[in-house]
Amino acid sequence: MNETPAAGRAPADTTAPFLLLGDQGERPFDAVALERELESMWKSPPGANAFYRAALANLIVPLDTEPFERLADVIADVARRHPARLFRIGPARHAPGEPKRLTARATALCHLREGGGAFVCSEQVLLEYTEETAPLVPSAVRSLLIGDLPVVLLLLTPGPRPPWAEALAGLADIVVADSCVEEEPAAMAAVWERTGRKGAPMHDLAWARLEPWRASLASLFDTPEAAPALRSLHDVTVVHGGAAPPSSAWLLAGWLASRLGWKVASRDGARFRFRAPEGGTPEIAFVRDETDPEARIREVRARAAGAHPLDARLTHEARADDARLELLAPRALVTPIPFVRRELAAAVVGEIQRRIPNAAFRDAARAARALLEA
Amino acid sequence: MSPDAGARVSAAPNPLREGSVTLRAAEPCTFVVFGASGDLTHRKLLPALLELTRDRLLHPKTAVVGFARQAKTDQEFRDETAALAKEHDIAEAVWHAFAPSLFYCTGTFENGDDYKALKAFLEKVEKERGIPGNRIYYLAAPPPAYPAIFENLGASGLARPAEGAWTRVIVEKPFGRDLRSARDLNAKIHAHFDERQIYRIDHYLGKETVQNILVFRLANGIFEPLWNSRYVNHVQITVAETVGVEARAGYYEQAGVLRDMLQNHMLQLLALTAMEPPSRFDADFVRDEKAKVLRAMEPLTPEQVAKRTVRGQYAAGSVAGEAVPGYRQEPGVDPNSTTETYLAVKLEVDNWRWAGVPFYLRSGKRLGKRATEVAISFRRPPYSLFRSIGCAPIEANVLRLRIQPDEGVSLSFGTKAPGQALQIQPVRMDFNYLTAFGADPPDAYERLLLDCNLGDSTLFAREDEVELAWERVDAIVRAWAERGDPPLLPYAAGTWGPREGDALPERDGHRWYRV
Repeated sequence: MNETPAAGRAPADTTAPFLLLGDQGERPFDAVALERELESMWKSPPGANAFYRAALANLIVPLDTEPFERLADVIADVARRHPARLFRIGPARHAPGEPKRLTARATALCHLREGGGAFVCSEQVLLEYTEETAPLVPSAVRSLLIGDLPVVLLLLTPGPRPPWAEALAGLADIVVADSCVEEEPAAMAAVWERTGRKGAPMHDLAWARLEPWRASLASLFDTPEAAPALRSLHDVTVVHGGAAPPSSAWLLAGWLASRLGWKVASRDGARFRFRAPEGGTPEIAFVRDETDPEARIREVRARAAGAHPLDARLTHEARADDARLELLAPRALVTPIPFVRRELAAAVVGEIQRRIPNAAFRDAARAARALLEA
Repeated sequence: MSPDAGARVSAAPNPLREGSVTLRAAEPCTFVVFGASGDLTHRKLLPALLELTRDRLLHPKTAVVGFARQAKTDQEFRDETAALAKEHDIAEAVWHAFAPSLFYCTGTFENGDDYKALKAFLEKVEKERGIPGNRIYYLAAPPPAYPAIFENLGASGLARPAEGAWTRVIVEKPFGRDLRSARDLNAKIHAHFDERQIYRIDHYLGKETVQNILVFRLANGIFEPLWNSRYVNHVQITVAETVGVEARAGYYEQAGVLRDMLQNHMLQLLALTAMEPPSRFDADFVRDEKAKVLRAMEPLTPEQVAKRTVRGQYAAGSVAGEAVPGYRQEPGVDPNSTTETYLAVKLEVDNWRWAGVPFYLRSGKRLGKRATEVAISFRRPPYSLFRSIGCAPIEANVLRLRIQPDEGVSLSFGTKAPGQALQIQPVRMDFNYLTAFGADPPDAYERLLLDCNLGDSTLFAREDEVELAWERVDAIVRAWAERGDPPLLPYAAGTWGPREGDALPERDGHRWYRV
């Protein structure tokens, strides 16, 4: 990222993908002064380049110091794909001059449009808090929200969160969380518990990452010949990396169970038995692949018996562009299939733009919680 | 995607699709490009396929087979395409994934034996890549070759899908050069393909901003109630080009702007703007409504053609600060050519919604600026409250749907200028795709190629739409030929066409909006 020290100065390198305008340094939080500072950036556009201020949303991102640095590029990429007034909130890195006040910086995060010629900029407010001033964060954010744009709360770090961070959800129209960053089943359940609450709809990036798995599995049953096999599925195995099933594995199981109307009947370790509406007792099992340290789904095997036999194994190697479908029944076939993985920023923007609560996700999350609690 | 060769979608809903998976995955297929050496293939098709590959939107087994007269090996075809990939900044890894999917088969469009060879070639490629026989034939060939291609595809058995597979054919415009030839062409293609297999491409319909016309109208509660003769004063559709005839003189001399623009792009824009809301967002429902609009526009009588059309031809002038020759001085153009390069026309949609609302359409080459837009001009307030205190007349509110460039939407309205005096100034609320979404919309060909693969024909023209459009265009062609009225008027390149073009809306008390 390129940074320019102050507004009114031409960016040194207009070929860089991002640059930062403004930034007159940290100062005690003052909403009026910050608005004025943001305005002034556009009254004195830097240099000869065209700069467009753009905002489709207010985007609030509470971060700790460590992920603040790690996720900075992701957040910049989110702003590039979906310009917003961005609130980045983190703990104070320096001893504050006025310990009873939040500190803030106003900047603009700009990217050169494809094909060049102009920069598109998202305004950015960096808020820093101390233990003492943290409760002031929600009111500070509220005072700077752009009134007629949706408010998105982006939760990219593991919970639990302090009360002030939870209070930000009260300002939001959409909450985008990521159950994949949670390792403990209880923490995953806490993320999904939000789906049942009143208020802003909750989106889970784990659900977005599941999309290629869901699309691939759904495609197995699109043809008239294969569709009946869906009702006679009796065994699904989800092979995962990492020490324990990741949230995506739980969600995948919850998705299958909820779409097919399966109710969990019993649990034996990592194997779940269901009651199907057709009367069968299908099972879903999580199996750990000890050779894969990454917490992710590696393979899904689905088997159906009876008049419509099916035995399909869908495998995806880490970071591969395609998955491999191995069909053992009703006939043998091995084929690559597209596996469109989205970068984190693209997944975030996809969820923001989707806006409406996704009924299939809500059902899947509810079923996943039932599995966790079984 | 289906692992089965058939890849037919089940009639019963798949519960795993419900509410979650929005995009169907592309199916494995072979794109067979007739006219693989041509300009369209290199300028549009191959770049679109490369971009789709980059975005992982094509099935990994996809194959692209070029078919053309020029003898070439697979490797030579790949080398040519490699240069395109570089031009389009396609990453090395993407290129390496794409290159093995490219094949080339030498043959002529008229020779039946070449199609037998093509059939064997395709079967070999499909076996090699594990493609279940799904094929898209893309006719990027010169239109006179279409009948021979249809006939030979039929005779060689290539039109008939293999067991459990599908075949589709994409036909580039112009689809015929008048109603008779369009009907003839439809008959020829229907001899071998069902209408469901035919995708008549009009790349304008693949543009994000053209698709947005329907979204804008029908997904926003505030506009559709105003979208009728009670509130709309008139509609303007402008498709302006700064380029001249370029290397297309052979085609353009026969077509002119009437056939090149009005018959397809402009009437499609008009139909999307004027159509009733379909009861479902589904190919045939949308196309039914567009066809109804075209039916509601009676073909112009010769007298109406004389009064409601203006035709012109560009003379030497300057465009964007550069001196350019006149049309008749362009290479390949008859020095006495009477082909029109400018057209302005006033049309009416005779139905309940649009009765009495004129639709002014204009298009031309070598105009002052490249711009395509639909402008909806609303009626002025019934009473001018502020005139009595010396305010200038209130401007009409104008909603402008900008198709290209600077894709977006703007709405003009009057506001009080700051100061002690009450002055009303027109200002503009502006939505711009780039600044709103931070990226330019994707290319139309990408969308349309993918839609064809997925079997979605919503954005392609149906047989009846094409024939209805030709019927209306033919009426103008006939009247121009028979009566010579209005005359062909010269205009200087770089201007906005002949003065009479401006006068067309002025006669009704309107003016063209500056684009």
